[in-house]
Amino acid sequence: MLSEPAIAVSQEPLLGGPGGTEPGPGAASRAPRSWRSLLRWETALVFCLVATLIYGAGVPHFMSSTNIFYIGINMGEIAIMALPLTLIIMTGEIDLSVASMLGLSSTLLGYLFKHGWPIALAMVVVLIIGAAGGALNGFLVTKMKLPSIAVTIGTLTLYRGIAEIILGTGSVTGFPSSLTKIGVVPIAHTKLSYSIGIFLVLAVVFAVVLHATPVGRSIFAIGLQSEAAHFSGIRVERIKFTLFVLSGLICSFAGILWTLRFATSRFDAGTGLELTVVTIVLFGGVSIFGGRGSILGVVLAVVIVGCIQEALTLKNVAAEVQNIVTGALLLISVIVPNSADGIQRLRARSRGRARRRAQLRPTDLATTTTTER
Amino acid sequence: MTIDVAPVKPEPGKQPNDRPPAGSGEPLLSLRGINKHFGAVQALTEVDLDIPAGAVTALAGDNGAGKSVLIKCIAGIHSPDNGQVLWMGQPVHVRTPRDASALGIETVHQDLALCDNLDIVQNMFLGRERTSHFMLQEEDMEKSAGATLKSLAVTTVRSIRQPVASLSGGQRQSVAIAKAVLWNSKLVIMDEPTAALGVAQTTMVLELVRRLADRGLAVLLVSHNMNDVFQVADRVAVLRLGRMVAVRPTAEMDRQIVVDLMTTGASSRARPAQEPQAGEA
Repeated sequence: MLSEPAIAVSQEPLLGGPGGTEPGPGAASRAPRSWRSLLRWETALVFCLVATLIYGAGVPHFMSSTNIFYIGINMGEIAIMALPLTLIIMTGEIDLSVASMLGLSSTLLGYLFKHGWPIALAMVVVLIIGAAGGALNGFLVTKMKLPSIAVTIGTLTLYRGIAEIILGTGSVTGFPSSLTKIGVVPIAHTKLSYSIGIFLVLAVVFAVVLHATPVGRSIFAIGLQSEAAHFSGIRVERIKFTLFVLSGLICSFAGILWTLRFATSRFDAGTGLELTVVTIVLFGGVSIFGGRGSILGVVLAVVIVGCIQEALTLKNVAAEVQNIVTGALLLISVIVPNSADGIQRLRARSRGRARRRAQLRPTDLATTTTTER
Repeated sequence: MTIDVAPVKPEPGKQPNDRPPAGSGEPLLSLRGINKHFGAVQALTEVDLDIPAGAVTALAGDNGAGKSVLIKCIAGIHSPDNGQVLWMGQPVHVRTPRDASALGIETVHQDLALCDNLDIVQNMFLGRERTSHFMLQEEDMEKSAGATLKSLAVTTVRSIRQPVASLSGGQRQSVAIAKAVLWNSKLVIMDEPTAALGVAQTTMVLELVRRLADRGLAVLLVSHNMNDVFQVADRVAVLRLGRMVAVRPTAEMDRQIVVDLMTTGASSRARPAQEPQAGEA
């Protein structure tokens, strides 16, 4: 019931009444709001990107072509994990176990490889375990009806713990160099790392699914009004469960890429990355409350965060300061859209009040002053 | 206690046109001995109800009488503890809203029918979008949504691409009803469709309800507003404390009788004198 006054005044709601009613100015400016606010956020991201690039241009070596490769390789796994998380956050849930799943997958791959498994088979097993880990999250959230934030903080610790038990503090190396080269060379004829190339392909797939298929529409509806979605026949639980499984699967895939990139398997691979992943998703304009966001925004956020981190690293800015930057971005991405909503609400309210006042003015000044207060 | 299910005849007063004789043959939906409890609370006790096609059946009852629980049992949101649901004579189990839609039962829920930030077309097709090669067919859906709205004479919306958050209460309700009709549904259940509406908007929605029944759909209208009930309903079913105390044609009732039934479970008022079967526990 946000702007009830603005609407109620302008409608003449009788069936088959003479012609369409003249829309009030409030209603007119309000209609495409959801689209416009979305576009606005992405436009802001583009400006943000330009600003970052201008800043980067002043940093030595930032604009070099090899640097594109480094930015890509630093962001690849993070970016890949951000895609399924985007869909999960769109439904109003969250998955904080992404980086732990990456670590567990890296560990498991190393462990199996050390015990003589063929690397391809080990990868398949790792992916299956990843999907199973996601299914555990999904089961606890959809069937046991537990809040996803609690569940995935639990599995964040759990998966990391299992990884530590499997491999201890040791590490596994010696992966085939035909595979580990993805950490050193770009895709042929480009400056893109393999991981970022995979991300771009996946991003297109995710964008199509989210924005042009019924499943995507369902995801929006679940995030906006879960019960209305349920009553409309959408299988809310099933979609959420599938998304958690997908997240587990893709995060374990990111774990494989991570292992090959560093040619090392360690239990603490990617510790703390979940915060960067969440930051990217929210910075990309996805609402933490669900129901709003786009893949384009997330892709832009990946590029911006990648560039900022790289520029800061090239400037020898300390890691702690970089963490502060990440934290600030996270806060900004939550605060700005919400305060924008708040401002819009206030404005709609005052518009309604102004209109009421205009109607009252000729007759009754006393009433006007009271409504004003 | 089950009370007789009065045979329904088309009401002579309202529209003597080509409406199919309501209640001819077997009812579209029959409930037999439906029980439902939540913990220690017995929400429904041995409820029987027939819903014929081409007629508006009003479900009246005081707050807490079990109206909402009953329609949720039909709509697949709750499942009854026991009892039988017959759809066109066949026993069916409706476990999810999807099952209900598959049969042709659509529900217009009180506040939860629509997603605010989606536009009218998106809402009307929510959960059943038209696709080709897995892609949404937006134009196609837009056309059908527009046609449906037009066929129901819902003409006041400015654009069918505006988010439903920007609609008035009556318009929202009209869109929710149009959404229910879009699916060739046979039974439309409405939960208090006129609650929170102004006078003019209420008229608009009730006209729409009447139009659905005249098209041959079965309508189950939940309301405790007697004006609404007597304006559109062909039959009135009265629930009291989870029991069905009466199901009768509107013509045999008046407001006082319904209110008596709602509050005490019996009415001593003589309308037609055939009244001796009061539901006793």
